[in-house]
Amino acid sequence: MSLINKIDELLHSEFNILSSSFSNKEIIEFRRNNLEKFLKLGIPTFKNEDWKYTNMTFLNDIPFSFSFERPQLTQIVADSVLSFLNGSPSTILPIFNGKFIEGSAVLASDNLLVTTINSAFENGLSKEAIDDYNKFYNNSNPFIYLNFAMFTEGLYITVPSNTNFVQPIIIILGYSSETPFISSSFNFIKLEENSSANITVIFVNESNSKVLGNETLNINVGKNSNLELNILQTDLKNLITVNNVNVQLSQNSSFDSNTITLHSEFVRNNLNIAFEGQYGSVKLNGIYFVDTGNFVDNHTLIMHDNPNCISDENFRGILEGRGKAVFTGKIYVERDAQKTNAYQSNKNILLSDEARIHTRPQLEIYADDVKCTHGATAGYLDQDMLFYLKSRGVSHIKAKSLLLNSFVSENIEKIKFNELRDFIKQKLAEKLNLQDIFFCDSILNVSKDS
Amino acid sequence: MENEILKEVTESEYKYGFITQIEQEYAPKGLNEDIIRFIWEKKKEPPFMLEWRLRAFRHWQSMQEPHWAKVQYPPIDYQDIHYYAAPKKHQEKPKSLEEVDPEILKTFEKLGIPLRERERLAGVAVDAVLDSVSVATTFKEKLEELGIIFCSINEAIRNYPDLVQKYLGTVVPYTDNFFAALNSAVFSDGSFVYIPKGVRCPMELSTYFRINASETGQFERTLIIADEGSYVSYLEGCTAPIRDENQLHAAVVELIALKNAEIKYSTVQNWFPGDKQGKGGIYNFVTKRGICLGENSKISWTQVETGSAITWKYPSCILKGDNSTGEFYSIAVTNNYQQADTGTKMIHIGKNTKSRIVSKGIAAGYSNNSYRGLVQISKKAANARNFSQCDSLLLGDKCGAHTFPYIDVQNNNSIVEHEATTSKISEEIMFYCNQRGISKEDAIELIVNGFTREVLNNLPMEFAVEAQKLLAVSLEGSVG
Repeated sequence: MSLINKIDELLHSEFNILSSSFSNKEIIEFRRNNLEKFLKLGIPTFKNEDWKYTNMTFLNDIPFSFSFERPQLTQIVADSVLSFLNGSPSTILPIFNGKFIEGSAVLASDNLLVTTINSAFENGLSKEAIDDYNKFYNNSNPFIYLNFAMFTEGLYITVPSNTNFVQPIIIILGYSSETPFISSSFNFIKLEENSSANITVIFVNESNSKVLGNETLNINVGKNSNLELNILQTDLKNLITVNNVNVQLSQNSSFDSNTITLHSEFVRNNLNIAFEGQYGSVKLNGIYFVDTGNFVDNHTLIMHDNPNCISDENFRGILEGRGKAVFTGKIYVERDAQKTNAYQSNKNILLSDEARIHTRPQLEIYADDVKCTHGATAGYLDQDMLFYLKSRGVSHIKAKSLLLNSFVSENIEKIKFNELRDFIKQKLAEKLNLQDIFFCDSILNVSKDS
Repeated sequence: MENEILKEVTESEYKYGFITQIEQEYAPKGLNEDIIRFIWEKKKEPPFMLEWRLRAFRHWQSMQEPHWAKVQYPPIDYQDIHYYAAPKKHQEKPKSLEEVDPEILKTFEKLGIPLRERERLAGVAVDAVLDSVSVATTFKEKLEELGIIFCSINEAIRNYPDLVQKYLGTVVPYTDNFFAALNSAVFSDGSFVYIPKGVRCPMELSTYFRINASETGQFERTLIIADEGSYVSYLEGCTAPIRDENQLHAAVVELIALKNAEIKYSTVQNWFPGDKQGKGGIYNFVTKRGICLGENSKISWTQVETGSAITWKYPSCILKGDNSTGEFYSIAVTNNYQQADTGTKMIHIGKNTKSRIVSKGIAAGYSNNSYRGLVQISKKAANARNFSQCDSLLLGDKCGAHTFPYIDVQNNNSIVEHEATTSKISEEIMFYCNQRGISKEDAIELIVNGFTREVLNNLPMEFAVEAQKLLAVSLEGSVG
């Protein structure tokens, strides 16, 4: 039975169970509408331009189920985060199989308001808060509709006005299952005026069977506020990740994101950003590494609806083995959005003959007083540079390390969360089979060695 | 000031909008198998063509019009078009220029196309196509001495059926896309060029397409074959009268370059773009593709697109032979309500293949100008190299410029680079010029000239002049 039929059946059985967790009639109706929209669109095929290189029809062959029970957080998932935090104080919010595990949560500060999305809806959050993001829910991404229809739980986080959160906030999206299932959480983050926060979303999977992690994160950055969002996806085996992030920026606000995807089986990141006010600034950085059996698709959309905003996008990829990666970046500049500066760059290094990269940097511009550029490259390790280094006594592996290091370090150094940055460096060195030289400061050691 | 200048631009007249009063013969409106038989009979083609046309037609019926391009237009009624229109006096193609209807000669003279061979100074051999038929081909004898075949495709089908059968539809099969299928079913004329082994064509070959009749579509087909070690430079120009209705132009161009051959294909497309309210104009849905079949071959496309209400055109290169080269140089200018979705495809299959894309888009008025391109490096294309550059210039705040490049790399020893910029003429540059006593008008001309120079330099002399004039007309002082 195909997924569509399966979900259609759910409409009559499990969907009602799911809906019963809400007494809010409006939300039940909202879910039902979205379910219908999803059923109408179906699983995207390569005929859908936004999914041209990301065929999801294999989902139809997996006997998925939905799970609504509240599981216990497993040790593996809990440890995954603690492993690199080194005891530095942080707020940790675990979501496990689509449910918030309050008992395992750590709140480092009372200032942060955390509740579940379900209770937020019960306490008067109207569905307009979701509809506000309507411009991102176009017909090309049915997974958002599936998420709205089927989400089990999620977080509603408010950073109150005039607060600066120095300590990182970590959201764990963990999965564990012995049977194939679909996990969906819907999260909402709101930064009120003059606030700042550093949020890291970490995906962890310990399932032995296929899990579709279909997650949505809606973010609203208030006036004069700054948010840094890190998304970490490493070693996700058996997890089919569809990660939808929708961001709205108010006047004078900034949003920096780092999307790190290393060695994961199947990842699709949809990053949608819209400027709701003037003088906003967005930086989207990303690093991805794929090897045999890995797939990553970063799909970004930046909508310049207002004048005087800046966006800067920089994605770097290293492809090894039979890895496949896709990048689609769209910059959309509305007619009134004069004085827009938008930059986009996607660079790729292919280390193997079997790897494959598709990149589509796109500009759609309706205003004239703008500066927009995009660039994309796909290449290989420069043999001349390797030779240069080797002729000066640097071993092959060190030379390769140095070159790859310089390729990604620009993006790694942009991560402000120190522990996370070191963790990523370490992971990358491990993945690329490089020596510990992969730390930027160790460049000095090279000269000592030689 | 800005408004004034923009007004001036939008009001600049389309020079080629006149209608020639000649008696025309039409096929009945609509499209069915009888019409195809009618065209086939009119053209006195051998039986294999009828079969081919009918196969294409049946395939076309099973296809849907594509709508992925960034253009919008009301639905086209394919049954409301005359698929064949020809000057009545030309049931047979005239043997010499003396037999050509003087009205038609006048038409082409008015367009500045030298059909009379006494105008040898021009040094260009021309095949002139009016609506569905080729009316005259010049310099035929001189070219024949070298073994070069330059004639209408209709003559080629009758006189060189082996060559045509061997190559027609090999680069753009009728199954390729909706408009290619339509063209294959109903194409009425076009040009055919064959350059024999080792011959360097001594003059520019040129086809001039003119739509004259109303409620018709023009469906021409061009086939150019450059045999081993040969070279040819081919030019194409097009104009149409001013009419309220939208007319369909669906052409197919196929280029085949064998070992060590080089084809240079240049287009100055100036179909009627519609009036300033966006009424009328030509729908230009064209499939152009070349294949570098042999080693060391080269295909170079250069286009200056200023006309047409809608342009849907992607001149492409399939780089199959090792060490082959593909080039694409384009200037696309849109004004008023024109929409252009144009670009190229570079398909790298052979080893050490190289391609270069330079696309310059200029959008003014309410127009939309898109670049859409694909660079594909297949697994076997070792050491392939591509460089693409797409720049857009926006004149006015009501227009749009878009870039949709697709890059697909499947091996690890190739380099693909793509870069694009979009901007208006910066105030700093204008100020710099003004400060040195260069007037606003001249400064803009200077900047636009510089912006497009890289492409203009690749046009043959005869065309570069025309193209520059065209640019000047459509962009005269269009920035403030």
